Amino acid sequence: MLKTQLLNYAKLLARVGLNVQKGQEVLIYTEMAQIDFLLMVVKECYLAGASKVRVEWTHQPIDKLHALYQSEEDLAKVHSWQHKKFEQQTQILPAKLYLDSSDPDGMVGIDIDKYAKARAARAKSIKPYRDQMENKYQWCIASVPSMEWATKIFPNQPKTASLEKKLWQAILQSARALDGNPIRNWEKHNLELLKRANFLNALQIDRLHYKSSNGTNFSVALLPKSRFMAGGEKTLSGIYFNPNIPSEECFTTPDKNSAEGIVYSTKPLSYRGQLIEDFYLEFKNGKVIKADARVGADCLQKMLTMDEGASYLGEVALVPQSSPIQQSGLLFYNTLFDENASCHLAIGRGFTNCIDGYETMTEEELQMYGVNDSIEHTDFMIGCDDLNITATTRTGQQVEIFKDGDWAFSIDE
Amino acid sequence: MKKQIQNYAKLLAKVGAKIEKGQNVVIYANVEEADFITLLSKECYKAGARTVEVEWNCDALQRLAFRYEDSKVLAHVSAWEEEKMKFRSEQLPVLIKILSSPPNAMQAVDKEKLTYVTIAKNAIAKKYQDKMTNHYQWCVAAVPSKEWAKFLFPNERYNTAVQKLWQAILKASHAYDTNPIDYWAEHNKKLHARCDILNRYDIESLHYRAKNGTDFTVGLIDSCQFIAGKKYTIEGKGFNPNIPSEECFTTPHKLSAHGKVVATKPLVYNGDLIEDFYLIFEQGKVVEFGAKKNKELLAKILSMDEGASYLGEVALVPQDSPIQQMGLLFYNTLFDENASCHLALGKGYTNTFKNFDKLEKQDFLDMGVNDSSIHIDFMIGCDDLQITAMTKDKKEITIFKDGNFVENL
Repeated sequence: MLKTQLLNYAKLLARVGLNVQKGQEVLIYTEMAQIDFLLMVVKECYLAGASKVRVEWTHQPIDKLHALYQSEEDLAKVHSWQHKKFEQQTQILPAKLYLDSSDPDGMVGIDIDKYAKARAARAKSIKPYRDQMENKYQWCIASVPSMEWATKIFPNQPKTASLEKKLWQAILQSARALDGNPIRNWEKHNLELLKRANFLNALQIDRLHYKSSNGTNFSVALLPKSRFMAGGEKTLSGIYFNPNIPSEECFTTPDKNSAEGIVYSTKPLSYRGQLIEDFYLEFKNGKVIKADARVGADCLQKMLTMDEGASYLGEVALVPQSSPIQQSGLLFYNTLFDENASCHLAIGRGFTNCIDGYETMTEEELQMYGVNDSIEHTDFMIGCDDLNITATTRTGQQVEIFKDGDWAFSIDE
Repeated sequence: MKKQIQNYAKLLAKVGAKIEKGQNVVIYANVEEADFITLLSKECYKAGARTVEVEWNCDALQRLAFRYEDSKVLAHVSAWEEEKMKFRSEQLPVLIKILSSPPNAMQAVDKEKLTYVTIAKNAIAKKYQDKMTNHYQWCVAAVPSKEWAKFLFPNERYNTAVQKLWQAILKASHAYDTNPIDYWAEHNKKLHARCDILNRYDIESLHYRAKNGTDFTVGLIDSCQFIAGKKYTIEGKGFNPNIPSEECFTTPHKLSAHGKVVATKPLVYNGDLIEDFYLIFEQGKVVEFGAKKNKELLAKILSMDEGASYLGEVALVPQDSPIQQMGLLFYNTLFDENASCHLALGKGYTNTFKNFDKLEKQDFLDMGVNDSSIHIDFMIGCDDLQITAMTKDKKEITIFKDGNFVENL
């Protein structure tokens, strides 16, 4: 990989992903896989004006040891100093960058039940801080390669630097950071995504109907105030940032109680280091009433029972099969990529900022209105080459949105 | 060597930190060492640890921070960070520190800034450290980093250099033996026997002489003893704070040092080397000093605080120690101090007192133990070093001859 390409990617994350403001603090969550690249990102954050950059390191093999050896209680424990730390974040509002390189199979072998319960308890005790910070700070999730992850994507290949390079290539390509000027690429890309979202919003969609030959036959309603978003977002104070790099989706928040029918997954889901494959979910009045998987069925059940909201939907996202990530033909076993290669749904928490006027609504009002609440938010993929999606508008018209896995409308005029 | 490295990790958990069932462990390490730290974490859990937490450091990241952040930002200790120190001073986790930085890791950093930040942070941390002293098990050990290995073996390729440094570390730590844990039990016994002899002499002061110009005396404290190897917390838990460890050491009287000592190895401080230096003491305090290289830094160390120009440790290590015999200068105190007689500027140890568990901080100060936020070793051992002890009943006993302990020691 050329150093200038990595440097451009680092700059993209600091300037477009986080859009670091002068004098702002930055917090980076990362694993150990790409320390040299991390240093590039840190430097770019400083050059963008960051007053302070701190890095929180994790190492998945050690996390796995914790999960194996610690009690559920200790795994769930949030100490007084950790509460103070989150509390301080709600005041300082640092920009947060997540650099993911985890092994999709990295947690295989742990007691899922214990781990899931501990995660749920932990997430519950820090939820007040998350709620307090929501929509107030810039954040960005992006990826860097690790050898373990590369081996999963490109199996049966020797673990060499060229394998790692292959994954770098795929990541940069997906992030539109391989060719040209990535910052310009993203200006153009954000504009196109915005046009799609605007078109969808102008339709005033009441309900979306999904149908494909794999058995998916499903519908979900949007809320009158649901609006599609795509690409960049703004914090409440008006700072534009890109929460996901890559990002190809137009997404919105559905009515919690509206999902009906059955959806079949079209890609494996890596859930906390364990794979769930070939699964389906059946909904009634918004709730999952039946679910099963060929691989990882117990893990799927854990996920759906994390809390009350974990069996309801929180996101509806449209991604054409022609997306560059889908076209790469690679399965990344990583949500950030796979969700941007395929139409998907998410169980769990709904995005509040997809609701028109959310700024003036309280958390309770948003939930009353029909936005799902949960400590979970997990995407799963349902896109395929013969997926058709039809919208029923609020005036009762039928409009074709997706035909044969791709957009059924054009935005060029 | 994989097997030996595994044994080494086990040695650190079982002999160094001597983790007991249900104890919490905190490991300090550099991010480059994640693989070894994974091994070590596993050994800690297998030894019975309830939780293992790793506090990661990255030198390159520190250098960036020092380049781009204000001194005030760097020196700031957040409320949550202080809360964490307080929490740990109460929870008393076992601490394991794994060194791997090259000696020049912080060389490019603005020294004014670094000193300012170090002093400011120490000032806050000290309160909690004092509270924990002698109440918890801890262990300092080392693993190679590419940079440290390359610093020591500049003509080797990275991989070979790392291999060589691993060999040196494992050899120095006696982790090459088939059963390192048994070796260390025996080693601790030998060191303790030597201390017993020294302690029975009832030494009042030590007189050092060598051809390089060292001519120096230092007084010991009445109820203070030589200790070595395995130590005990106030609660009676045994542990080996340093792996390797070859020294017998004690705490001198703060006001007693007199005369000139000439350093025999470079002193590495925050990534910088101070070379060919000497110190002249009067009534315990450094009154004159010089260095062929980096005298300014030495001046800075000596003025860190009031106690920084007084001594806090006197340690005896023979020239025939295995580390000295390897003939390798590690540029790292953990190893180099175990290859050479040394002294330390700054804080004096209190666990060298027979009844340290019954004494308060003020008692130690009253008896002449030095206090400081620093504790920095420097080496004075050489092949013609003679050390004579003056006992309380005014007998002169030679304890070091030509750089080594006399025969009965």
